[in-house]
Amino acid sequence: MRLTHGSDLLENQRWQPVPGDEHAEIFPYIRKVDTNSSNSYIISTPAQIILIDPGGLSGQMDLLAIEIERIHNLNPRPVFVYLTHTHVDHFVVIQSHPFFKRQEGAIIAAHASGATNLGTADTATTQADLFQIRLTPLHVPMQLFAPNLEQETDFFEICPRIAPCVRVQESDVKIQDNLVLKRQVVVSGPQDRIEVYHLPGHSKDSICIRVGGLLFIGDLLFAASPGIAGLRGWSQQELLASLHKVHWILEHEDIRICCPGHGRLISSTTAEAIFATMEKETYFLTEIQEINPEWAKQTARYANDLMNRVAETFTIIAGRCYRAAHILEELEETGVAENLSGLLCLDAIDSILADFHRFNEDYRAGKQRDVHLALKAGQITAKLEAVYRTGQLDLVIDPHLVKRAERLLSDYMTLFRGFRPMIEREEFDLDTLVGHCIGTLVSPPCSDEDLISLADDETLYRQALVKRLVYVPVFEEDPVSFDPSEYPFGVVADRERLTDLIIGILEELAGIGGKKITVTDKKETNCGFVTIDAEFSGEEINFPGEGLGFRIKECELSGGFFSCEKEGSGISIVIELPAV
Amino acid sequence: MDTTTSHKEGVAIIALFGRIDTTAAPQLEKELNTLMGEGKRKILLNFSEVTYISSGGLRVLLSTAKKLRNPGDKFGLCSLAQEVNKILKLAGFTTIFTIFSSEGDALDAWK
Repeated sequence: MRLTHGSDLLENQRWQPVPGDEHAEIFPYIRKVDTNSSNSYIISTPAQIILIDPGGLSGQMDLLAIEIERIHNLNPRPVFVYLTHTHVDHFVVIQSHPFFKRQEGAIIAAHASGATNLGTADTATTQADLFQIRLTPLHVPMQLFAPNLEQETDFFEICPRIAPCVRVQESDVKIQDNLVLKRQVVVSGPQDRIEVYHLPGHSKDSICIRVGGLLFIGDLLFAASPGIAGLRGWSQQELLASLHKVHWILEHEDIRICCPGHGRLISSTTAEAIFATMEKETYFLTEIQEINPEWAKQTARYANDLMNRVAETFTIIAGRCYRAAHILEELEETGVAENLSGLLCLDAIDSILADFHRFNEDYRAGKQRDVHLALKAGQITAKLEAVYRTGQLDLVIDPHLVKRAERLLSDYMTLFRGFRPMIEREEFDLDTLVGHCIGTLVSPPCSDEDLISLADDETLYRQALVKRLVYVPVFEEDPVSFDPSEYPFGVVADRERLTDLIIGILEELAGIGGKKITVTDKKETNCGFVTIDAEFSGEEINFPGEGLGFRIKECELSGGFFSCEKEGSGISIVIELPAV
Repeated sequence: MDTTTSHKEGVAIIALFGRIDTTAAPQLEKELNTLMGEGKRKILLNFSEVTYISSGGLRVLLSTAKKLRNPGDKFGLCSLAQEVNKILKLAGFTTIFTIFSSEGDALDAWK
């Protein structure tokens, strides 16, 4: 199985020579990207067997163990396990897999700070708490970049009792006046030389390992990605410095292939381009939230509410297009109907949302953790953003629905990246805004007069007709009434978000059978209030139901506070805003 | 999604259970086409146990409505949960299909 489109890269799960080192062979174990486990790599040299990042899954380790034991039996040598960093997905299989109990000689090597993480079973720094994995303390005999050895200039034995053959030399490189690349050369025999670089940023203990023309880069490639930037131990300044340093390594060390901790291998040229882009992105990652269990819990909850709302919005948009297309077919406007149905990649959107639903069912069943759901929602949102093109849709569907879908996706990505969604506060007249919201809902985008006046122009008439057919008169049976305040007054809020919030609430109330819907607004001292009342008959009122948290958040992002009270067969919703 | 089909007073009633999403919609379409292929021209979908309908599900409903529009044909939905009714109303579908509050109401209306 070839891993990449290039011919100079490596094949998965097959032994092959290490480019640039005629004495070494490599067996890559490349996985599809997920949070359960990393890629693993076995290197065989005359004097040692190296396993880089054993990962987090026992099935993966079963296969690696078979290979290691097979080559060990052919030529018994010490086995070293190098960890590019001590995040659970890269190492946790060590604490449970029988290989590490059988193979007493497997010597674990990690950065000294990583060794402390493992020795103290630090669940926060290893991300074990995020993935709810239990840790037991693990001894790391080979501690790289230990602070007490920084003054050593000659080769020294790094773990003399259990691996006297391994000698290490500090070999720092001054890249710029204030930029030093910490490097160690590790030698295990006359033909066994590897180099290790300390490149923190993704974590304090992140290292890269060079064997011949291969550079094992751990998770450096993903260190600026949403849901990863901000992990405990992440540092913007250290990452920026490490990106400069890895650039130097790629330029000076004849690296041919970069072997990441997740996903497929990349050429050094591709890596250079990615790192350059990452550097630009990393500059903007100031003041991002720390990704910890609390972040994961909040984000997972938001993701769940958000996906329900996204699914609902897309279904309504799709339904309106289908309905209009259906009527157009009745009018024998088949071509126009087909164009309308093709405006959205509906099958793709449906499949993406169904994928999230399946994952969410696993989450609800306890098979996935908060962080998994948050990450999955990030993937799903990115996919939806890729297929949701609003250009043509804007011309026919109510713009507020189109924008709502766009904003929901954008807000999640903002939150997922560790930022707070933008609130664009401005001062405006509340009566006018509420009047506009109701006007949007009750007035067709194209009036009867418009249609009549366009009757002579076939193209314009068709466009207007489509707009008219896509419009759904939600309040036709039960009109919504507005009782504005006696004296107009201004509020400070995010105008666009507040508009969508009010429209969304009104639509939802109408959708669930609300009658006599009335909107009032008033000012009391420093606050403006929008009150929406509705009556229900017979059925139990299911508003806002599971979406309460989401409505509260939407209202916060509009710049206000949301409250909702049920009174007998009615409901009263209040949005409180700062008034001027 | 699961379905059970029963026949009462000349009406084929499909009771739907679960989500009508991208994977369930083709299954529902197939079942509806089979019934129509067998000559059933009065079809009622009981939505009482449906928790979600996607755009794919809406498309199947429309496509069925299109096939059942000859004199004497009947196609309707009944017992919609509030959430599903909301989607149909906001998508404008409640004016295309006949929606009944219960199976009994539908059978009475189609007598």
